[in-house]
Amino acid sequence: MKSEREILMKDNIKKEIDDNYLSYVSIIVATTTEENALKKMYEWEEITFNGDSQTYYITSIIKDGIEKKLVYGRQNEMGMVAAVTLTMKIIEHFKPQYIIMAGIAAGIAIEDDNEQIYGDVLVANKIWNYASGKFVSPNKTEIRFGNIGFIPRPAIVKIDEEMLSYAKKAAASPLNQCHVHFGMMATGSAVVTNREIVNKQIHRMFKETIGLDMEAYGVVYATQNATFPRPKALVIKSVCDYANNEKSDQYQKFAAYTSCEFVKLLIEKFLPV
Amino acid sequence: MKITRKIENNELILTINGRLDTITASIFENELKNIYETTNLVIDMKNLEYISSAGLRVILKIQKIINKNGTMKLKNVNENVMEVLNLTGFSDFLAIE
Repeated sequence: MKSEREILMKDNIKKEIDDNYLSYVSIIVATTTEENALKKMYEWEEITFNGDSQTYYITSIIKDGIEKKLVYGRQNEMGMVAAVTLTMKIIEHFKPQYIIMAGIAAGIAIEDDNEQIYGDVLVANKIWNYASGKFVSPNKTEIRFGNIGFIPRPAIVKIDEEMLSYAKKAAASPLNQCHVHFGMMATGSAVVTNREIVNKQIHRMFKETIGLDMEAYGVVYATQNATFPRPKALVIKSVCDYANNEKSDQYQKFAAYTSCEFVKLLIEKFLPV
Repeated sequence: MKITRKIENNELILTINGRLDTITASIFENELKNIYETTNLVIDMKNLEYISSAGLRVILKIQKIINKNGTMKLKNVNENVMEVLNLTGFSDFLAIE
């Protein structure tokens, strides 16, 4: 005979699976520059919850004659831990159908005929955590930083193909004003201003990596491991620097602007209701 | 979009008429391909009605090339275009008069 606790757990699980999405799209940003760009896109209303220090912002759009809720939240700090925490809280509070990470990233594509310019939009098809691995003696690996060796153990998350198809349609649309690149992105916990890191730690593993940020892996991992109803995720970030010693904040506003502009187009015209 | 050119006081002055968006940005870029030797470029925006991200991208590409040997500046920027330049941070690093 089942205990009372087992029955309650089963009932709770059934309830969660039966729940519908409560909002359409939730957008996650990590910095105030990204938030400022997003704020210009819509009229947002502030919303808070008892027992949660995070502030969220909500608005609605009419799509196919139906009112659809949009939500955004800005991380309290940069990085994957804050990204996962905010993603999970947004899923818990708003049960969004889609989660989009918008903002800025480093463009690190190996130069070919597909030149990356500041403000170009990067849509991730896979994201890997390049910081995952093991520090060892330098004689145990080919990846060395002085007297420290590093053996990578990359973990990869893949973006849903259906989500990518919507982004591809948006990119090919005559309504699109942005130059969009699709490819692999890498996430790590530090700001990179040294191309040696890119060459040794990132391109050595996956030379097709086109972008670098500090959050995307966490957001997608969190959505893919969330409880039902599970949202689908997309990462749309724009190039603000090249992760080299010339890195500056000069192009961050433009990159945040193009990222949010493409996100807006995708939401309003290409994501299904 | 229509572009007119004139040389004045050792400066090449390009006047853009109309909209600089995803459709016209490539035309603008092609128009500029043979002026990359120019050391001093002025883009007159008095008749520019609208600039999108695609137009700003071309401006960035030109600036990157011109800055190696010369200067680039924008002039007669109207209120609508200036709002976009402010929003995107372009007004922080471009020479505008």
